[in-house]
Amino acid sequence: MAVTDALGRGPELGYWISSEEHPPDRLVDHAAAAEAAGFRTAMISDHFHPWTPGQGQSGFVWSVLGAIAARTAALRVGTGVTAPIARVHPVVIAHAAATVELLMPGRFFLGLGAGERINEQVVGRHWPTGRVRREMVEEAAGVIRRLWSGSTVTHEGEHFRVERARLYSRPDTVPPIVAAAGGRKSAQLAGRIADGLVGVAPDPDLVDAFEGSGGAGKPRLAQLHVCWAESETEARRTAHEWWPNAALPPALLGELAVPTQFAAAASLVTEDAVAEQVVCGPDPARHRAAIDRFVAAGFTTVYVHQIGPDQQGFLDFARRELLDHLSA
Amino acid sequence: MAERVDTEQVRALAREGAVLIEVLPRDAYEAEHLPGALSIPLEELNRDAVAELDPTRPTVTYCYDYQCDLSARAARRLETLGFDRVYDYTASKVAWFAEGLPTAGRIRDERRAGAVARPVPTCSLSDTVAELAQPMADHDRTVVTDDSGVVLGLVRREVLALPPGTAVERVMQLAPPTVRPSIQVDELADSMERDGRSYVLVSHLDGTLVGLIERADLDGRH
Repeated sequence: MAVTDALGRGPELGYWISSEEHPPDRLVDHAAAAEAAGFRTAMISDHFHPWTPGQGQSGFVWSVLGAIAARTAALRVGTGVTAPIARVHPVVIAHAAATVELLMPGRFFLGLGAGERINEQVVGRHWPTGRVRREMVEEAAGVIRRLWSGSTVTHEGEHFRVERARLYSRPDTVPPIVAAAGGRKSAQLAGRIADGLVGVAPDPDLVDAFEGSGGAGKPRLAQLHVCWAESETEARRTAHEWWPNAALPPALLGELAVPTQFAAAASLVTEDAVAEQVVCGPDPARHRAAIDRFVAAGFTTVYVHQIGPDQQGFLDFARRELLDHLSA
Repeated sequence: MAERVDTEQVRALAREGAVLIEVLPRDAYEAEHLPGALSIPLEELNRDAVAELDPTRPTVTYCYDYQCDLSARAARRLETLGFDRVYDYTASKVAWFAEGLPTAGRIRDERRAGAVARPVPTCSLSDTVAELAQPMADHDRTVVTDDSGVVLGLVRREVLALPPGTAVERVMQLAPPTVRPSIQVDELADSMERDGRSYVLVSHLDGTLVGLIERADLDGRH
């Protein structure tokens, strides 16, 4: 029973490429393996640090995207998400994104968000409040779109300065911008400035705030954390070891400064608490039920993040049990 | 002491010929009041103001809402003036309007949510996604209600992508936003714009569904 958006697409599953957990070359392998398994879209996290030291990795997303472009043929890939706050100036984001779009024409999208301190404090600036960071996202999106249009941009904004900047390597068709939202205010901002929404909870109110602020008919993307393994016991253990941050209060996620602080906070997190936030185990019904909650809340693509090392095991499971679920 | 009465009792009293008296200031009365009600602001409620009224007839006082004590004080005052069948409509006109009952005054009923609300398909908790294909053919949303029409949840069109046997109860949104039929269209349009809401349901105080208003329904009306 198909339901389609304005472009004729029904809801679909996507694959989450987790930069915090795997070395850059493995991320490229995972993207290729996901495409081979039947995934048509993926998102890749854009971090400077992993959440916890134990996750152990955090490659530079734009280099990894260049390699993914070369190793995949049709996979649509976006950043999940890039923060125009401190570490990367919007001029550089516009530059990097235009280049990636040229390397994978029609296959790239830019995810923007208000960022986390763990990735942005590294350049030694004051960490702004959520309200200020939302303003920065809005201003940055404007700068990025002007640069993509081919203009020579001079901009004296509230948060960013740009002087006589012009992109010389530019795609004919610019990539879509999607914006991450954790609450109504950021969802309204996404509706105003972006071509799509990115959410992390099956919250219909978030989707409505997006749609009611200009986002009607535009894609709504979501991230779902799972840990597939042969047994539930093994899955729970892996999820707790690799992704204890799943069970931290959301208010902390943007505010802690370094991975060791996340490890300290996560030392209080139990396996049960992680298993409440993450779908753990081999039972397809439980994975499908979690996907269904996002679809019912109005999300159009659910990007599934398999926690831990066993990506191929998950991809095989997804091909067998999940990918046909929404197109039945 | 005057008997406290609810909306149903006030309707019954009005049918029996009770006198309704709004005791709020005159401008509040002129904006909106109960049909047939008299205006006697509390600050004018003395022997002269009630000289024309029959103190043996049932008489109901009301004010703004249940947090406002003007109707209680007016009821007591009427009793001191010799009225012997006085009723205090504690919940007052906010409750009356919220039920979508007729109003009088400057604010016209067609400028209220109750008049703008459109029919919306409904289903029950025990339905499955398969049963929504028909109602959803022309609608983006279906409201989940009980047998008496109380709003229990809402499902979006996207659920049609789920397996046909999926139970509505498992995937419905639990607390869709609702407003009362009495809210004025201008006020509703402003709040929906501010909060970025694309739709609200209109329901009575007891939670029973009246209909649906989408943002586009309010365009050009305010």
